[in-house]
Amino acid sequence: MNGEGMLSMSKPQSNPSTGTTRRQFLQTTALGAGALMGRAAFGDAKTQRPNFLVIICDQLGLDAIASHGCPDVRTPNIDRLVQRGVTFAESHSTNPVCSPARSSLVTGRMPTETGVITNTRPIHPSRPNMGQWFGKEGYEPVYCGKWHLPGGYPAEIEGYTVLPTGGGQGDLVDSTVSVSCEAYLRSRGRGKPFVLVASLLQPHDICYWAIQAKTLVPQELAFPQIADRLPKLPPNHKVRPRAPEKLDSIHYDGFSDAQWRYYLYIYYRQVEMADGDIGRILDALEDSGQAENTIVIFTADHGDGRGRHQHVSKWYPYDEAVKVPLIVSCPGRIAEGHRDAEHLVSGLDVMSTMCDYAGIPPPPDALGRSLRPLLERKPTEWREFVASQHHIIGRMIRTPEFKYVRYEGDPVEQLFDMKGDPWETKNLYDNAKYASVVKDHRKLLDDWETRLKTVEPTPDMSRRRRKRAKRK
Amino acid sequence: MSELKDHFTLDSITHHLMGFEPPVDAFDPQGNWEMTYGVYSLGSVRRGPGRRIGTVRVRRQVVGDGATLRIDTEKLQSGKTVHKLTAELHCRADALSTPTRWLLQTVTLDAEGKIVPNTRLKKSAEAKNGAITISHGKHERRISVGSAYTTNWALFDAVGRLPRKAFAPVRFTLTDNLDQPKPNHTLSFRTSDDVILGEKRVRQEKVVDLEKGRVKKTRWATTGGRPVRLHAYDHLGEGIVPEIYWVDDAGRLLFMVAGLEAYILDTKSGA
Repeated sequence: MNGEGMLSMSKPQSNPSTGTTRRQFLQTTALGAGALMGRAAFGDAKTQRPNFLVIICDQLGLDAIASHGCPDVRTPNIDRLVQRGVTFAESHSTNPVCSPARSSLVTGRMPTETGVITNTRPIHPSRPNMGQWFGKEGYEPVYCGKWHLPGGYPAEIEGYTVLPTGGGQGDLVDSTVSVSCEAYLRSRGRGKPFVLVASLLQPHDICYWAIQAKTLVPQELAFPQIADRLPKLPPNHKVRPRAPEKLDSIHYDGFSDAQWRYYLYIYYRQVEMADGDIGRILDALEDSGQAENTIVIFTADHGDGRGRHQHVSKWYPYDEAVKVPLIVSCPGRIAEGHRDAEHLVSGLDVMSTMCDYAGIPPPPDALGRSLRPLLERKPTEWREFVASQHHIIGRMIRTPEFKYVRYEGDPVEQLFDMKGDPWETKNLYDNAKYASVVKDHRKLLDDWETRLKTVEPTPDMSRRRRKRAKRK
Repeated sequence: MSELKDHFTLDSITHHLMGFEPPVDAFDPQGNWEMTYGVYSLGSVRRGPGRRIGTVRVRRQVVGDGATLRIDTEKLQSGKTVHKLTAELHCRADALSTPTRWLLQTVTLDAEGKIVPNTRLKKSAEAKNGAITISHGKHERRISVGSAYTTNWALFDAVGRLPRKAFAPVRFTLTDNLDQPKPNHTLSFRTSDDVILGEKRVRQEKVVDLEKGRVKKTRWATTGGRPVRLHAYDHLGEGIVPEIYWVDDAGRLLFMVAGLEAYILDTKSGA
């Protein structure tokens, strides 16, 4: 679509309860037009009360999975989910940082609405989390693994029974998470339906390969035997599009090309570590005889730079950080082996989807959409953009054709043509041809922002901040 | 002769090796032995040296022409809970210490030593004709591993008997944590070297005369230590970050370092 094509998006009027605009365009699937799914289906779902297994990875980019086209990694277990369910190719984090993104996954609200605008903050007490919401509806909510709202591995989480874990980074803690989830699935009694969140830390360990590069990434390859197996650098490795100042300041220039390739090699091994743990949990679910009545939702909080735009880690609105896997499967209920590359989906949608299948209403003012019609390949109206927040003052919206980014008070904005330039190499915001597109996207973002029911940011509980506050 | 900092991966555990006492007693990697390792997590956002988070005890008992490995791990977790894993592996005395059958049990205990509900797990497994059948109660799951396979803990035993010079890499499938097959693994010789171990940190004080008076300056220095012949082996493959096993001349595994994860022999408790 060119710039003129976006004129049709002007004057969007929104429905705050659904997160969609009035003039949604009808996006139909293979079955063509038909009745809307969603709320009408609560009655059916109630009779079955499915279990939910929510598997969350940390720092897993959408395209870092073999069945999503990555040639450098082997992920038979995530691929198993892809083959058995629906995978979304346009899935976005609400904020490509751990705590804010996680707050959205468990509340269905944007980070400015949960109070978790940066890492290590608790969810605002007025916002019920998934455990609290499902617990009062007769579910058994169980949490195992990384929480980070604010504590990393707390012994108690409001609304959940916690299977305790912790100790070490992903390499040491994730096997305990998967073994504990396995033990739970194999030994639990058959009373209430469960919501089990298995929250793995990998491939988050990759952060340390930049933080502790001196000891972990030597200048000369430490293992010559893998020289021919190192992944290639991405095509946008050296590209730095014009960006708002705060965004522009983030890049990593401490690696040679060889070091970058070793960094990628390590990242994919860490993805494979997570895949093994996912396999252990899925095996236990199947062996326990509960797979047929369990909806498995697999996602991540954010991706990793992987050398794209010279990035490591996350925090920024480029696709390497903001696009995350979202795969949903359940035999007999959800379409199998379908890749949805058409609909824009978000971490916000996890809660609404679960509520829909459980036959319970979503939390008040939850912004997410139930993915149920997409998962069952039924026709439905769908949203025309998803939003993401970053760096406290940064905002992004993504429409089918474009990505628009702005930072409060910064005159430099960003506009990328995501169809023609998927590697985000050319910032078009000051290209006169796209002036109307920029204008439309500004308006979309402004309208979206005014609809959010924001709360005061909750306190930053990181040790560093607490120490600083004490000194003051 | 070299220092810890001269070797990739040993440099990252330098802090934890201060005061390490290299074992001097006789050791037979093909015999009966027991060793305890501290488990260290080396990742720290404040760039510190990391910390000890648990313990692994490995006991080898010769049985016929193979051996039984008894593994006991304990890991400290949130809320002062402890995750325990116990495994008994019947292994061949080959290059991979190939396990042919095993029993695995795990449990989480709370701060008072009581079992946390729904955390107990018991599984057994038997290998035959290139496949492993894992049993849990009535349920059986079969995984294909080919003829060359092993598991994490068995490598703690196997590396002590590997050649001390370059050899054709051993290729195998890793059954990660005894149930997840990860193919395309290799074990190969890396290096042999005399490395100084057993250094201690000492505080040194020096009095300096300045115009306005005397000041006492303190600094940390290292002292002691002796060269120990070490042999290193690389373990690479899918689903693991590169691991380096460091074995002494007697064939005793002293350290294993894999990125942010390290195992260091507890010598004070006796090796």
